[in-house]
Amino acid sequence: MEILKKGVLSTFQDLGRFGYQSVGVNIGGAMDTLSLKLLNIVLGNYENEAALEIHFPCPHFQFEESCIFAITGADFNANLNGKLLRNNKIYHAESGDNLVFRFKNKGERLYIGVKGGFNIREWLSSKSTNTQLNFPSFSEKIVLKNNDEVDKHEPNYGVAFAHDYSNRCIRFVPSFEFDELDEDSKSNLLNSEFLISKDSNRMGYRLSGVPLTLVENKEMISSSVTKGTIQLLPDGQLIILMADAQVSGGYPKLGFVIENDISKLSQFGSQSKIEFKKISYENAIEIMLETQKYFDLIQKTLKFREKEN
Amino acid sequence: MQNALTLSILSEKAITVFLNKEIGLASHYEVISIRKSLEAQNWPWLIEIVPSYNSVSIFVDSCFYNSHNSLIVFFEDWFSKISFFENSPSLDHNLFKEIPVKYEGGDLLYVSNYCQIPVNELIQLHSSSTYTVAMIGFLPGFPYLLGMDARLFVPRKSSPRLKVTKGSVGIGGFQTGIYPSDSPGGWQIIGTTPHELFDLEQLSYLSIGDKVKFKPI
Repeated sequence: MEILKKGVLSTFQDLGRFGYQSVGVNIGGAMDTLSLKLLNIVLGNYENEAALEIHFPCPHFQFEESCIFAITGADFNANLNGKLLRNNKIYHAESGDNLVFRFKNKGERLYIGVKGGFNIREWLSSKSTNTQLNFPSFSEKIVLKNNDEVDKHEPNYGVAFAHDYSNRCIRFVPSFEFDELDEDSKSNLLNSEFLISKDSNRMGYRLSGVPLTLVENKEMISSSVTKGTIQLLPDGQLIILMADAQVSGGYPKLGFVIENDISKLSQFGSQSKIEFKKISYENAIEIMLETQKYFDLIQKTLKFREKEN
Repeated sequence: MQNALTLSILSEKAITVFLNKEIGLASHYEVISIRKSLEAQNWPWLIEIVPSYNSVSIFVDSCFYNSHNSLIVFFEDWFSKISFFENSPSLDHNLFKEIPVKYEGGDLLYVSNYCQIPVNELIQLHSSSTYTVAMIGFLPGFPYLLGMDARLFVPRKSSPRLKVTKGSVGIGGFQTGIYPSDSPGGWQIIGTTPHELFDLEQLSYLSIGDKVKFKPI
């Protein structure tokens, strides 16, 4: 696969790099992990296979070998040689085919994957680009891992899955300094709208809204933060840490946004409005396990259809 | 002592245990003991243990929930039964490392003025202490060092620099540390080291628990 026109902020991402936070190497990984997992299920890949995470304006690609590929996540009006593609469905590409993305319809991040995966460099058991080190870095020539025998008759079933973009509610579990918010701040956090500011990136989403304050200002000692952590900045504004969260931070923390809603949030762009909904830790776990079950079911259904075919 | 611990849920798959103590060598040693006790468990769902100044975070795989319902319940129970002072850390395992520093940072004069200490004395104070690596964070290989002379306290910059160069030695409040790579940063820069602190293969030059001394060059 060759990149004919460069896009912005394209990286390879898998589910992240685990085990090295104590030497300061963050987890990283895909912003919208649900879309990445779905992509690999649709392609029949390993759950943790790396995909290209791209943003609009997108790169233009030309395939240099035949392969089976799919796209998930955002809707950027994807076209293969002028034919409109749908998300969550497998397609066959021949050498010389062009993959372009015409306009931004919905969402912020799109995932492109190939059956068998990309042949890219792994570092510390992950293929995700560590953005602090810009390593493993991204080149314009992308080699596929497995280009022998592409079955052109691979069944082309789609999977119905989409984030609910109309629902701006972001569910979080209160923790850490949440109880130390003053009463007005608690009420404002739960009942007012927050705007995703333009200073938002893979590291974190800065929000702008009514400034929140703790009952008593506390001198914090640095401790672990991770994807989903809600931090309270000195000016009273919030930041939700995203995939490239640092391993530690020294701001007060109010809790964490649940996994599913981090995936959804990562498809919201700057100037989007969100609202917070408080849920319990137990409820968050239920949602996580239900989502896992749902994905297992999709996987089983696809395998079953494949056998039938 | 167990009563002094606070458990806070960090995410669906992580929990942080706080010691509720001032930062210092005592809390650092306790953190190291907790890490050792956790590491000795061989839980199949344990992904990683991340020590900080006075807390330890435990990251787990979602398969934890195949056999348990709650990280809070599980670890409250576990911490109530374990006594991690039994295996207090043996200091002789820690490596002693010397880091050469050219004391010529952009904030050296500011720090000297703020602390009311002449530059040569400041260098002497900063390079005569033996520091302990309490945690690594912020950037790959960035050491947070304990043991700075309290007279060198300087608050962080109110507005962080957009680029602090690789190798910069800085002071942020009561702590001192080294930037292993170019990065935005708010610490007061008093010197630079030519020493590499992070390598893609060897990873961090310093590890938690290491003893560090700065050598003026």
